[in-house]
Amino acid sequence: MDGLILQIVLFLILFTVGWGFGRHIEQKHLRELDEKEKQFAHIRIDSNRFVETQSNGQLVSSNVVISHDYFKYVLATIRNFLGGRLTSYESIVERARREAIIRLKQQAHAIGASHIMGVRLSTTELGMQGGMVEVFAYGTAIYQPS
Amino acid sequence: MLLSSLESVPGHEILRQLDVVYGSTVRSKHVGRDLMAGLKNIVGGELTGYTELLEESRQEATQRMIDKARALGANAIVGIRFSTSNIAQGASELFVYGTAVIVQPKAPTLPDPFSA
Repeated sequence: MDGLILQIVLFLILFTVGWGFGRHIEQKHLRELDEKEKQFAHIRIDSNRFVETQSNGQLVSSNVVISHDYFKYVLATIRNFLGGRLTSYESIVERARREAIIRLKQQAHAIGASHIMGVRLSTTELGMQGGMVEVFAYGTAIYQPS
Repeated sequence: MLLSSLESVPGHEILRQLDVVYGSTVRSKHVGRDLMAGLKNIVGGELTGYTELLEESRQEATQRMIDKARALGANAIVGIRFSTSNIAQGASELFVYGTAVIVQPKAPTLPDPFSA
């Protein structure tokens, strides 16, 4: 009986901590994303493979690994029984993609490029319970020869 | 070595296509990072340790691909693609491949004197 109570208490603690910190971290991240997206809005990206250009290019790549929080994990486990959209996980993957694209733009910006072509995104699931997702983005940054 | 994810290297023309080259590396996580990741799984957010680990591994794979291309006598690799797979519990393979080619810079096009 004691063991059960302890487990329930532990679950509730993790649930609340996950909810509190998870929300805080997510909202902070979303604010940062909005800000950086505005900052790098001048860099164009496309997924076109066939390119005719006089400028030089260089491969740029970026990756980001984002983990879920306990609150989202519980929500997703419940959702798994019922089926349907896992909204809590959708937001994680979306954040990871936006972050990866921003980092790609940052790299392009660092070498003085204003256009990234042939962008590809790939998503991989890492970790034991599938709570971690990696988004890897790569493309060719085009810059004017100096 | 010029690397490009496009069908060609921007600003260059392809003289000769050589061969498909690839490089791969299999990495496992380590206990310390896994412990931190376990904690992060509760509060959420980015796992900087893993981000760095995967970046290093990809650079290593890319370096292996470049070495192969260099052995073939290529000076560029086009159409680069990356792929990642979980091959065992806690281990992932990072794989990169592309076509080794010989390129030369395009001659700059002079403005047409009769257009104006």
